[in-house]
Amino acid sequence: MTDTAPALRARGAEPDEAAAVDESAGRGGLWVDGWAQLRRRPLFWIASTLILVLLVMALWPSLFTSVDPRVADLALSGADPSPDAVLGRDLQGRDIYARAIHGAAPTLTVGLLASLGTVLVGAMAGLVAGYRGSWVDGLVSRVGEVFAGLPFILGGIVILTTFNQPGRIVGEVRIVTQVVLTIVVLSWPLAMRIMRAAALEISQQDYVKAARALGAGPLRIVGRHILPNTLAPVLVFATIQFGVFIGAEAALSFLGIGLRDPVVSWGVMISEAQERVADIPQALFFPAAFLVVAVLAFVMLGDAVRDAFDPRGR
Amino acid sequence: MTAMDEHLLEVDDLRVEFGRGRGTASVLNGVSCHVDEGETLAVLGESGSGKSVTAQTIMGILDTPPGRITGGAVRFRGEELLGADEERRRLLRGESMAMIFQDALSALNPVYSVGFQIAEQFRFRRGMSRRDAMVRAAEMLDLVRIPNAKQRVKEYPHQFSGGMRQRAMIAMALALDPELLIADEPATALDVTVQAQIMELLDELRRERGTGLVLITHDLGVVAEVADRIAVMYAGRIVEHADAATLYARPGHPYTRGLMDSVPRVDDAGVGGAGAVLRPIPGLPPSLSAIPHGCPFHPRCAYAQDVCTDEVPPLREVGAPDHRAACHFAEQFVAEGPDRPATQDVVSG
Amino acid sequence: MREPVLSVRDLVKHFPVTRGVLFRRTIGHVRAVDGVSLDLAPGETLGVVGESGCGKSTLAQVLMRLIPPTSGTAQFEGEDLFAKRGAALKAWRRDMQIVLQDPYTSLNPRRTVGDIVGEPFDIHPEVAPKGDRRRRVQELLEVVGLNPEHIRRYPHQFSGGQRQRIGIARALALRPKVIVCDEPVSALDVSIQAQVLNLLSDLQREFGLAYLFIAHDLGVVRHLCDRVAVMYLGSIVETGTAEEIYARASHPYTQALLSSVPVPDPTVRRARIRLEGDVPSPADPPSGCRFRTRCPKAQEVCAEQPPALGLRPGTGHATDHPTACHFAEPPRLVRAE
Repeated sequence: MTDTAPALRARGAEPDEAAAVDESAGRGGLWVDGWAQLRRRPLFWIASTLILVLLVMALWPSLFTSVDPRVADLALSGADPSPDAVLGRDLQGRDIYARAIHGAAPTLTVGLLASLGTVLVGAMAGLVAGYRGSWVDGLVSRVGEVFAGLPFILGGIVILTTFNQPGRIVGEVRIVTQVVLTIVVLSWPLAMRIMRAAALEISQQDYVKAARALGAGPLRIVGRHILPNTLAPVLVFATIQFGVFIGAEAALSFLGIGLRDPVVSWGVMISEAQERVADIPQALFFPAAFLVVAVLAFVMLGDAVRDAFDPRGR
Repeated sequence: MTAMDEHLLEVDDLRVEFGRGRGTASVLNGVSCHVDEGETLAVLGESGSGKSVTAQTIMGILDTPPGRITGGAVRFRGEELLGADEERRRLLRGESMAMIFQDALSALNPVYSVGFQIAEQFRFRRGMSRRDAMVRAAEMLDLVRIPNAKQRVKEYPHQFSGGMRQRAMIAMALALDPELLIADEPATALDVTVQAQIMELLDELRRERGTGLVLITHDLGVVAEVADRIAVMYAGRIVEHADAATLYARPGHPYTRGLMDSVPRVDDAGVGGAGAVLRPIPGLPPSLSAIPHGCPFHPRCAYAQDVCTDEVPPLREVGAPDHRAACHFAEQFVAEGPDRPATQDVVSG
Repeated sequence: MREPVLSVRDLVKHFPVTRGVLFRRTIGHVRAVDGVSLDLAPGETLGVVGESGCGKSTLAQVLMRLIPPTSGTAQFEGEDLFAKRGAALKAWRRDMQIVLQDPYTSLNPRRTVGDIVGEPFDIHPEVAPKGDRRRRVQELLEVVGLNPEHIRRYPHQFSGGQRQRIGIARALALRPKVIVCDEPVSALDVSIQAQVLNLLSDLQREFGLAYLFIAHDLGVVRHLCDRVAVMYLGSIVETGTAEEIYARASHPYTQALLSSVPVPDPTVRRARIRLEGDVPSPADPPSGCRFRTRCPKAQEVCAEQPPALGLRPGTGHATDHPTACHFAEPPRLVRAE
């Protein structure tokens, strides 16, 4: 048996077990690889197309309709869809299609800004609390609990009525800003908790220990190690919250303290339509359909982005 | 009494796959072994060798899906189990066969006292009253040498130390006096002094009660101390089987031999002694969804010939009775004994 | 012994045990490391063995300056290690690195192998000019036995043993003088473990590294280490050369530990010193000698006086290496055939 094949040295003798793995993975870091993955996902393109259409609708509504969404004709109240008004008319005889198109801008503005604001404020606070720990964590967590303890509707009423007398007509920019800020102030603790839990978990991982042993500073540890590994749950949260926030905006409008005439939003349309659902179903159905499509598009986008940026899923 | 040729447990050509399509992993590829009353069969293997899946399939607790039993038989006292209905299998579990897991903390329910969990079996399987069952539970804790069993029976799992929890799990497994005990890495998570206590306890209980013990482990030291017979697994197959003395004295498979050469030892004997160079097996175990053609070990084997890449070596008797190895050249290895290096570079320097 | 590269004296690390959410109050201390002294010479391997909870991993983290010590001193090449701040601390980190236990959590799953092994150069840009880094990383991968072409792969595409090699390459990047190995092979299978142990030996020879090798596996420690320190509940109970510890252990804990390790040879039947019970909690250690609650030799004096670590010529059983037991004696019977 001495004439058998020479043995390999253990060092450098590992067979290429990962040979079957997709070689295109791993070209150049998290962002480049993530984008390369993203580009290949049909889900991403479907979601992006839908979002693009919605954005165009919001920016240039006149491309889609030339009807003034504010023109009311009580004689046509609750009219069925017809060539004149393709989706029918609401209780006050306004064109539902035109209103839905013009409602895109305020709705998307509120949804996007509120999601963005909540995530930015909440995630930042959570990141700091989870990474620094000790008294910073205690302080941020307690403050967060105070805000999270406020019931949303009650908090909304208090904040918005403080700034605006009920029934007063206020400008579009002003009311949108106020609604967004109200939502952010009342919702950031949710994002903070998610981020804090994730940051706490990740900062216990051995690779963070190894980076610290190498002399890495806090910025590097947070930026390179903690943030990329905590992004997934926050991203999912943000896309789901987008839908929730549009609903919240509608709830505030229904109470008469959120967006209101002359501003049109899908939330405003839905809340107006509720009273006469049985008689004029189209007034509820069509804005709701727009809302569902928008929420789905953002959820799909979030899903695709999360998967693409997880190397383990490839 | 059963017929002479009827074993307590007999596993025959067991085959299990995970997943479907291109990624199908062949986890067990024809595993055959048996255990008799009062004896210890050790199933030795590294992670991914299929040793735990074997244990779970015998117990009937393999998750299907993703697992799929594609062939073979498991016979308990001659009774075929794989085809039996779930009712019958549930009856056998606990009464006739029981299992001990590696992680005692997750195997015990944290919201019930340890005694309550042991007593449950007496209440539901033996119809005992709550009080009698607790008395029996305390007796069981005493049996596994937990001091102050009468007091400790009311305590919760988190109040027990790691070693104690493992004892409690053994007590639970033995409660209904099963004839077969399967222990999946029972002492791996424990410290070495506690590990020694647990292995000793298992060995004593097996002897006292005549229980058949299947010990699943990766630790060659533990196996050498307690096993009567040993089955070495690699890539879902048993590649060698022998009684303990024969296996360590004359390993017939280069994998077995490589394992022995890889272990650094605390005593002077063997290759792993102070200053000696370990002779590891080069490379990595194969992916179970792409097991190499021919002998699954050939890519890592220093002695591989053409025949090894072409033909799967059957598990056959080599030399001593009941010593079986799945290697084309097993006879030569057996004749040489273990002291020859398994890889050649060590000889040449 | 040569001038030690790392010299630790009376190192103590206590963790406070706190209660309460808003107003935390300390209700006790976990004495994880309780007065440890050791020396590490350049190019040697010092093994620290002990069971879980003995404080060996805490010791590693304190020495790596990942957590602050409670008291005690440590000198690295004659300089006070715990006094280093800012640039001096960062410069020192190039000299001392760590390899961690778990190959699955010690590598950031979202970074490529090239990023991970190259991170030391990002943090210490003075070590390698930017254009040179890729080559340096590939060299490192080759040194630890990995394919340098795999620089763009992610950790999950490697097996446990390969990941541990990546971790070793990262620790090696800055050419340290000392590497602390915290259970570097305990998560690996036997055959893979032997590969990594041989790699560590080869690297030591090639680069003149000193290892502080922390492990619970006595076989692994015997194989790799020149000297060994045995820890129990935060203290070193016995220390000496590998030969002194493995052949002539004089502390009853070391003796029991050694006799508990199963030997992979069914023909060897060793007399086992059986220890009762489990390790006591380090939050509430026994008085006097820490080991007395499980010690077969314990007497009254053991509860009263903690035995100091030292040579014991006066006991009539002269031991040739430091041990912390009032009744230290050479092993009577280690082995019976």
